Amino acid sequence: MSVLTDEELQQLFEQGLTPPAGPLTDGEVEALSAYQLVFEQLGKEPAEGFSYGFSQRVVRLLKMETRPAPGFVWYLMAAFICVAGFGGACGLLNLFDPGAASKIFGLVAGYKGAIVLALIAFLTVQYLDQRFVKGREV
Amino acid sequence: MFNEAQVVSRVLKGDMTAFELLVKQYERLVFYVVSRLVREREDQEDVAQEVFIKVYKSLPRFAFESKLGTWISRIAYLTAINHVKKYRRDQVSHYPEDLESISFTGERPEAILDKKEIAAYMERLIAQMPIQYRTVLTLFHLNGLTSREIAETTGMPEGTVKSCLFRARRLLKEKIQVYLKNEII
Repeated sequence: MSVLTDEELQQLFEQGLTPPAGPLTDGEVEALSAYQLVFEQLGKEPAEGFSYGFSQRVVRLLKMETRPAPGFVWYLMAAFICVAGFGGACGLLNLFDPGAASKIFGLVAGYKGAIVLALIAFLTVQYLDQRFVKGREV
Repeated sequence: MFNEAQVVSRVLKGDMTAFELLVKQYERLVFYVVSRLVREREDQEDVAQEVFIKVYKSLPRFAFESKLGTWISRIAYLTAINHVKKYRRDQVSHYPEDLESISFTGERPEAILDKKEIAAYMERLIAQMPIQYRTVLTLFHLNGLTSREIAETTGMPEGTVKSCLFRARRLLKEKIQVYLKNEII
C-alpha cells in the first residue's frame, strides 16, 4: 500500500479533493488532520484590520497631496500686491512729507542689485521645493 | 455589488467618493500583505496609505489585464517590500536554503501545551518565517492569487513560489502535529 506524500496531501487540500478510498495509515490520518488545520487557518482572515476610518484618512491625505501648488498667477498676484502696497505706502508718506518717497526710492535704488538677487534666490528656492522635494513625497 | 470597471471609471473622472469605496473594498487585501511583511504595527497603516496613494496615481495606467485586486496586491507587495528593504534589510537577506534550518524561538513542545489558540500559534510561526515564505502564504491563501500571479507579482520564478508554498505548509503541518500530540497527551 503506497503512503500519501506531503505533496499529494497538499494537493488534496489545494484542489478541494477527498482522500482516496481505502484504509489510511495512522501517519496519514495524523498528517491529514494536521494539514486540514493548516489549510483552514491559512485561509482564515485576520480578525483585526486597519483602524476605523482608514478610507476617509486616505482620501483626506490624497486631497492634500493632489491640491494644486500655487502657480505662476499666484506668484504674480503676490508680487503685484507687494508692489502696490509699497507704492501706496510711499504715496501716503509723500502726503505728509513731500520728498520722502524720493528718499525711499533713492535708498531702494542703492540696493537694487541685492534686492533683485534676493528675489531671484527666493523664487529659485520655491521652484526647487515644488519640483523636487514635494514631488518626491509620494 | 462592487463593479470594479464602473468604480475605476468614476475615480478617473475625479470622483473621490468612488475612490473611498475602492479603498473600503480593498483595504483588507492590502492589510493582509502589509501586516505580514511589515512587522511594526505603527508603520503598517502608513505603508497602506502609501499603497492607496500609489493606486490612485497609477490608476490611469491600469489596463484591466488582471483583476483590480491582483493589481492592488502587487502594489501592496512592492510598497511593503521596499519599506522592509529600506528599514529592515536583514529581514530580506535572511533566506535559508533549507527551511528546516529555521529555528522558532520559544517554541519548545512543552510550552505549546499552554497555547489554546491554534490560530494565534500559527500566526506566530508564520511571523518567524523568512519574508519569501510569508509572502507566498499570504498572497496564495489570503489574497487568492495563483502561483503564476504570485510569480508575476514578486518576480520569483513560479517553481520557487510553488516550492516555498510547499515547504512552508509542510513546516507548519509538522509544528501542528507536535501541537496536536501534546494536546492529546
